[in-house]
Amino acid sequence: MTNLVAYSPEYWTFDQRGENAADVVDAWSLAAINAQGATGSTLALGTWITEPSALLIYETQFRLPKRAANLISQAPDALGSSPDRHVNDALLNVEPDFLLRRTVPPPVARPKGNTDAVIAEWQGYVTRISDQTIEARLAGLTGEGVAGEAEEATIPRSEVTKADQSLLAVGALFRLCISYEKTPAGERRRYSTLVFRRLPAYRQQDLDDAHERTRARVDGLRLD
Amino acid sequence: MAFDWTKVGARPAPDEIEISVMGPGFGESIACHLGTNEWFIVDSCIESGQARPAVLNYLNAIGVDPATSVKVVVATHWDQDHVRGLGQVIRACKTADFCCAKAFVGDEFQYYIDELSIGPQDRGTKDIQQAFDAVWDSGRTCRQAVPGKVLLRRSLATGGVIELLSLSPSDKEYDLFLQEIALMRPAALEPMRVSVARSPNLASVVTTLVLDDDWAVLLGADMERRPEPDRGWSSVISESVRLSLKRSVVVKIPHHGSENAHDEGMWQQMLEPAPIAVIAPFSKGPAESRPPTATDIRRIRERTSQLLVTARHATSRPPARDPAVTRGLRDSDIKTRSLAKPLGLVRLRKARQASWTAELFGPAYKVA
Amino acid sequence: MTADSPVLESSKTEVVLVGRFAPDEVHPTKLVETNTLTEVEAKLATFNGLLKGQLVDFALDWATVQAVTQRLVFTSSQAPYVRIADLALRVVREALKAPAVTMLGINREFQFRFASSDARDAFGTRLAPPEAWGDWGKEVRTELTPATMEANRHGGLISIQMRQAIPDDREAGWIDLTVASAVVAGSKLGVLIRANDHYQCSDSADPPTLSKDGHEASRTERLLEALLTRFDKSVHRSDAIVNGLVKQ
Repeated sequence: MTNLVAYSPEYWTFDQRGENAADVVDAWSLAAINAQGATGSTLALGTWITEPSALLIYETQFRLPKRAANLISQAPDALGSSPDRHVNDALLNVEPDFLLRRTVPPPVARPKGNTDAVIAEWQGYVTRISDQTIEARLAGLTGEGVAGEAEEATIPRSEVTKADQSLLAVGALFRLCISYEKTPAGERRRYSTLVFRRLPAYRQQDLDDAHERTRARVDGLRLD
Repeated sequence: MAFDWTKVGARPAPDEIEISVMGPGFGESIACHLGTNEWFIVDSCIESGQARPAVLNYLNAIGVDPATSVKVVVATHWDQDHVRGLGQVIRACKTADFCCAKAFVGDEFQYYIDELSIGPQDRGTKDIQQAFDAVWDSGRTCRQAVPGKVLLRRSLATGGVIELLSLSPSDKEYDLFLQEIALMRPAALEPMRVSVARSPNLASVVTTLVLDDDWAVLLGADMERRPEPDRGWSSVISESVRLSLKRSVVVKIPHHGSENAHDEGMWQQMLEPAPIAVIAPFSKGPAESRPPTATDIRRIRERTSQLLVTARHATSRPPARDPAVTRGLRDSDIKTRSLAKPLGLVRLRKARQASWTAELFGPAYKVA
Repeated sequence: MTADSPVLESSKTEVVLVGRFAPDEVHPTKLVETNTLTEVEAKLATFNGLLKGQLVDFALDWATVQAVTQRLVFTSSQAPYVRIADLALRVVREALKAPAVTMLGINREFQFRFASSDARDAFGTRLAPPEAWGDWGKEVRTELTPATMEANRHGGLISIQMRQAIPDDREAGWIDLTVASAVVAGSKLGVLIRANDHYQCSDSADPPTLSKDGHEASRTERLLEALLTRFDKSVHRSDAIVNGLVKQ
C-alpha cells in the first residue's frame, strides 16, 4: 500500500493505491494538494531525487526490502546534497510496500533580487486618526535630508491599504518608503509605500519579567 | 543654526534670582537660581541635532557645575516635550533630589513604562525610563509632588527664606491618571505598539517659587483649565488660597499659551496685575493651531507688562533633501512638518531690591 | 559617484535563523492559525517546495520563507525590509512550539553592473592588486583588457572576503563582506556583494544558574531581541559599507 505524491511548480500528481490510504493521509497535506489541483500525470519514484522540484511523501504502513533500507539509511540528509545514485536505483526497484526513513530535499532555487531603489524611508507611528487623515510622528531612517530627522505628518487615510486597515490604530507603527522601480521599458518610476508593521504580540512571560524588573526598582526607590 | 552658548554670558550674582526658560519649539526646560549658586531645574529638552540637554549646556556655558549646584530636578509630567534628556540631567546633577508627581513613582506607572520597553519605544518612553534608572542607580531621594509640599527651602544670605512649593496634582487628577494608565497598559496577545498618551497633562506639577512676602513666580507646567473644582487650575487656585500664597509677578504660561490652559481664576487670584509672562511654544500639529496662536498671543499680551516667547513657530525649514522625495510625498498628498526648531532662551534676573530684567537669546523675542 | 561607479541592478535582504525548528509549523495554513499570516496571504502563497517534516518553502507577494529543520530563511527584495524581521519574530515567537535559535544572520545582497570592463577591472585591482601576487600577478594584470573580456579570457579577481570580528554591539559574531564577479542582468561586467551580519551568543553572557533548556531559551531570546532592536541598524550599516566600497 503506497501513497506517493510528487509535484513541481508546473504540475501535481497523486497516485493512490491500496487500502486504508485515507487513514494515513495527513489531512493538512491533502488540503494543500487539493488547493493546488491535480493534473493526473505520474512521476516515477526515481526521478524525484534529481529533479529540482520538491516532493511531498507520506509515510505509510510498509516494510522495506533490506538492501533498499541499508542504502537509504546511508543517504545524505544535508539540504541540497546530491543523493547517491544507487539509492535511486534501489528505490526504483523496490516493492510497493516500502519505508522511507529519510528524505533528501533537493536544492531550492534562491529568490532573485529586486531592481527597485529606496530613496527615503521613515518609521512612523500613528498619533491621531480622523475620518480622512492620519496624524503621525516620523523618524527618518534613510535618505538625504531624511535620515535622523524628526517630523510629523498628515497622511490621507486612503494611503492605508485594505490589507492594513485592521492594523490602523493610535500607536501603530508603520514604514513609509519612497522608491523608484524600473518599468519593463527600462524607465524609472517613482512610488510610495505605506506599510504597517506586524510586530509580535506581547507575551505574558515578557510582561511578567518586566514586572520583576519594576518591582526591584520600585522597592529600591527612596521616596519622600 | 545651533544655539550659540557663548553669548549667554556669566552666571548670576550670588544675590540674584534667575528664571531661565529655554525652548526649541518642541520641549521646554527651566533653570532657576535661588541665590549663592544654588539652582533647581524643571523639565528637560534637547535642541534639534544636539545630544546634550539644553539646560546642561546652559549651566556649563555660565560656569555652573550641575553636580554640586543643582539641588532639585523637577519633572512636571511625562509628556515627551518635557522629559527629553531628563536621565542625563539627573545623572549630571549628582546631589539633586528628584521630584515628580506621586503618580509617577507608583507601581502602575512604573509597570507601564517597563512593559512598554518590551517592544519598540518612542523617545519619550525611553527618556522616562532612563530618568528613573538614573534616580535608582544613584540611590537618591524621589520627592513626591503633592499639593502644598515644600520641595526646597533656603535661607538667603541677604535675608529671607525662599521656598519652592508644588501646588498639584490633585487627588482627583492622580486617580484619573491611574485610570488612564490602566487603559493604556499592554496586555498579552496584543501586538506591540508605541504608547500615545491621550491626556499627557494629567498629573502635571505646577510649582511656585516664593520669597517671603516679597515676590513669587508661578511655573505653570502644562496645567489646563477644568470645570471641576478638584481638577486643573481650579484645584491649583484652591490650594494657593489655602496656603495664602503671595501672587506671582512672573509666570511661565501654562501649556504653551494654549486657550485650554487659560483660566481666569489663575489670572485673577494667583497673579499680580500685569505680570511678566514667558511662553515656550509648541510647534507641533497643524500650523494654524499650534500654541500659542496669534489669538493666544493677543489674549496674554493684554494682561502682561511683558510677554516673552522662547521661539517662533515657523522659523525652521526642513533640511535639503532629494527633490524626488519631496515629489514622492506630494504625489501621495502626504504633508510633513519638521520638528527641528532652533532653541531660544528667555532669562529673567532680579537682585534683592531691584526690578526684574529680561534678556533674550537665540530666536527668543518680546511681543510688542 | 564617478563614471566608473557601478549601477545597482538589484538587492535583497535576508534574515537567517539557525537552530532547531519544525518546518511543518511554518506551513502557511499553520501560520494563519497563529495569526502570523492573514488568510488572504496564506491563500495566495505559492509553494516552491514542500516536504513533510523537512521543508516548507513558499513565496508571498513581498517575501519568501524557507524552513528546514536547522534553518529558517526569510528573504525580501521589497522595501520596507523590516517586514521580514517582523515576520521572522512572529514565526518563532508565536507559530513555533519549541524553537531554538543559536545564530542570527541579517544579510544584504547586492548585484552591481559596471559600465565597462576597465571600470570593473579598476574595482577589482583596487581590492586585490595583482602586483601583490608577484610576477604571476603582473602577468594577470597585463591580460586585463576589454579584448580578453570579449574573448572570454579575462582573469583577475574572482572573489574576496573581509571580516570584522565581534563588533561592539553583540556578544559574538562578525560582519563578513564578500565580493565576487557575477553575471548581472545578462552582463559579464557584474559584481555580487554580500554582507553577512552574524550574531551568536557567548557562553560568558549566559546567566550562570540556568538549566540546559534554560540556556537554550535564554540564547533564543537574546538573539530574537537582537533581531528586534538591531535589524535597521544592521541593514543601514551594510548598505553604508557597500556604498563606501563601490563609490570610492
